[in-house]
Amino acid sequence: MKDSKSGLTSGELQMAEMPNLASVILRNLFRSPAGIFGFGLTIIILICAIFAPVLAPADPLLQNLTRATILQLPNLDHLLGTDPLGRDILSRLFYGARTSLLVAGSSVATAVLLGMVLGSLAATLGGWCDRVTMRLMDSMLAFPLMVLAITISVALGRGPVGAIVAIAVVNLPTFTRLARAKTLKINQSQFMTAATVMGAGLLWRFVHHIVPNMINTIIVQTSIALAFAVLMESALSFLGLGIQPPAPSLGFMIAEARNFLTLAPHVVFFPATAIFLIVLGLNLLGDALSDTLDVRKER
Amino acid sequence: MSARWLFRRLFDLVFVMWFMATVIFFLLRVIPGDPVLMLLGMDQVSKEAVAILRTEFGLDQSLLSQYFLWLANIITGDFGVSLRSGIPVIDLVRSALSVTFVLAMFALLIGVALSIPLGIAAARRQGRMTDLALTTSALFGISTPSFVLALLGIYIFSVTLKWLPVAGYVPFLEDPLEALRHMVLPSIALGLVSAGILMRMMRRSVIDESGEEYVRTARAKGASEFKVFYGHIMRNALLPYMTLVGIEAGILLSGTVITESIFALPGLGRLMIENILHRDYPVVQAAVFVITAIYVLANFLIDFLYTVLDPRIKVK
Amino acid sequence: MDNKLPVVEVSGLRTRLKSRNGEIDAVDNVSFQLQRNERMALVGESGSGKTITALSIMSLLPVNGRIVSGDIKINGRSVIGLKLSELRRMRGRDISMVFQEPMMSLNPVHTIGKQLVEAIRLHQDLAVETARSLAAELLDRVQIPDARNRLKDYPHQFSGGMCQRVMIAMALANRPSVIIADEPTTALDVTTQAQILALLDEICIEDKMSVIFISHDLSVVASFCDRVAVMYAGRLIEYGPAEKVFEAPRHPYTKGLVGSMPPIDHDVDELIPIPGEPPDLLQLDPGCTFAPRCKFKESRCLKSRPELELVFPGHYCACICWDRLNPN
Repeated sequence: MKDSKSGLTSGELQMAEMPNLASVILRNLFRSPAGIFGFGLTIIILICAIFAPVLAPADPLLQNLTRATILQLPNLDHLLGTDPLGRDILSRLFYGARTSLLVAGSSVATAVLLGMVLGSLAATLGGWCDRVTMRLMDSMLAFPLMVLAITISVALGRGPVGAIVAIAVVNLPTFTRLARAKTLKINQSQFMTAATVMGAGLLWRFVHHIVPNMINTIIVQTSIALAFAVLMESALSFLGLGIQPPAPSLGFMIAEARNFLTLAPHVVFFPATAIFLIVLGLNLLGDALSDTLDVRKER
Repeated sequence: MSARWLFRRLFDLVFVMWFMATVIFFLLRVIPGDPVLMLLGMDQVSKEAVAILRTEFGLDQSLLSQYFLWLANIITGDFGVSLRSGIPVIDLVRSALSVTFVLAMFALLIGVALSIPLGIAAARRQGRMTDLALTTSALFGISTPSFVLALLGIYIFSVTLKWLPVAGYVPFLEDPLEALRHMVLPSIALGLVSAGILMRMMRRSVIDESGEEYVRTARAKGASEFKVFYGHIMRNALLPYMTLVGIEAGILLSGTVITESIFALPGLGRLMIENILHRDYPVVQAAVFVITAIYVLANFLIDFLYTVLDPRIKVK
Repeated sequence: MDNKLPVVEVSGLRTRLKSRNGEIDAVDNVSFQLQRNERMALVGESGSGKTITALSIMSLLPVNGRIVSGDIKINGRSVIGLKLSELRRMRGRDISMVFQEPMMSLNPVHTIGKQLVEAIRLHQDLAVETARSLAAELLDRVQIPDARNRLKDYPHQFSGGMCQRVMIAMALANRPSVIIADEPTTALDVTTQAQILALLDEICIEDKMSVIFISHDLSVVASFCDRVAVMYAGRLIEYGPAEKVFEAPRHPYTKGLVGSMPPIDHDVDELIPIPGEPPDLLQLDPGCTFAPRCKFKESRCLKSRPELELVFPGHYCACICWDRLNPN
């Protein structure tokens, strides 16, 4: 039964239809102002992040410690002013966005991939394997997220790796549960039985049947997770636990500038706005995606 | 409500507590850095001095035996002694707990108090200006890190308007008014983000329930709009909302960590962060354990409440 | 009460629905009368406007619907322009409605008893205990065993058929003059269907209650109703005594409907469905709305809309070819 609005078939969304998914998503995103805005914002930020070396007007690490050159207000030389060490804020924002997206992206990607594998394995293999995995995931959810993230981050030493692992761990249970629930449903379906009878192996079934049927939910959940991951990354780097200085990270920029809140509030609020815009874009995108890919249509 | 269900949930509770205690213990031990060396300073210290202190702290025993000892002590409520100050950890935790608890409670209260009426308002005027304004505000709220909101609040209310203090803590019993003044900004900074998430959920819940068939039946019976809304729609809409409140409680608790840092509130989060750098294991372990325990308990309560309110949940 | 006064009188009702793409007349100039103790069927395909007609009578239209013209009188009293508080007083007391999905039509978090008591106490000033006893009696009447104890149960503990019985009980609670049943058995299995119909039959006879029975299934309607009104694309196209409409339909659409049903007493070689599809109400052509699918159409049919005319005593038809149809 084809849904004429989005062109997505309910039920069996086969692997062959995946390339269409991208065009369908894009077509529907542009229907709502929120979708357009979210998508646009995210793309702009992505471009800023990827092409930071090209777009940044100055060297983000270049310090200039004289009374005149630190904490400058926006001017012609430094479009957004300078930070407490005389570095160009605008350039640091570009690189900071890059850091945020890199850390958030890799951690969520890890969580998604690992979660999908673990979840579907647990659902397919069943038995104690399933029980143990789910117990583990539930227990992980029992931790207040920040606390867990901080602990892991500190345990693994400061630096991006710790942050990435921490955020990935925090997001893992969500995706595992999701994958497991979807796999359970699809495993019960008739055409899955048919595929198994025809001799399709575990990996084939996974790639060709299981994945397409959860891809909608996964996409929606991923964009939500990304928004959250950027927030977490900024919080961790605010505490000094993310990518280490002098490399620019938005959260740490805020932490550095905190003491100068009264003197030069812009040094705090420019990076704050940057974080806000990144997360806003991702949230809008996530909302629009969840409206488009009507999750209820999935089997 | 069957005893068996209660028993199973309690068992789950204990299991989770044990699990997280274990994770906390071993995670911390993974961190490089020796607390004794940190205490004595990295200068030339005699091996004997190090050894003596290690024995005193029980750090010379094998990791496993330290672990079991710690577990056993927790059950009796003995969290050990701070490696740095020698103060029994339980005292440190107790005073910090009240601060964190109050902060989290206030924040949750603000979140719930804002989200329910605003969510209802947005749902009832769905698609119109009010709804758009409210939904956008909620979106902005959840897209802002709580520490940014905190700093914004400080800038506006403390630095510019000078209405509220920048940071610090005053115990309630000493001076209630001052205590409140110090708590206002931190609670609001934390609470606003929750309000955003919760408001979206309330709005969605109300919209979904309003479209259900039983609402039409109620109207067909001749019930007033008031009765239809509060007796039927809200009664159902509150259920998924409540579950989210439970999850939010956890997010709030973690949020207190940063908020306490910014506002210099001597709570569990601050205790944890300060001592993590000094590798003061007992303190950090205890702080993390207590925070997590509160979260687990809160969710347990919410689950319980849910089974009471939703008759469809079969407690087998 | 004057026995000649129709219980429900609909005159020239026009109800408009607003959608993203425009406005449609979901109910277009519909008129009929329901007498005391009479059972009327409202049949048609989905989208023909039957449910909207019922919702208009109950003044339970969705937010995007409104009555633009016409009158509806219940027990002689016009409900158009009535204050909301007055309307509420009539709903459940003068007129009740039973809906299609019984399990979804009951509040999942309230007990059956609570919902029944609510229905009762909204219109009768009774103490809670008295209302509960009455509720138990009602459940008894709709043949739910162990009525008193089942008051404590929740809807999810009941089957679909039992939920529908509860809905009927709620509808009867205040002895209304008329009950509207909107596809009450469509969501149920065949055996339960028969039981519910038998129950309704019994109750209507006992209480001398009038019924408007909405369905797309003619076989269900044939045995139960006295009069039949057939709707197509929002208009009433045939209206008359049940046997006459079924045995000798005068409108090509009705003939098609009757002909597409498998007869229960003999075999036929093939079922003849009506070719084509219902029209898009947003873009209606001038002329008869059924013309595109009609095999009797003439040039006249495409130019002007046929009105309902009296073709036999008590039997109306909105087709100029009514006399050419061979009764089969």
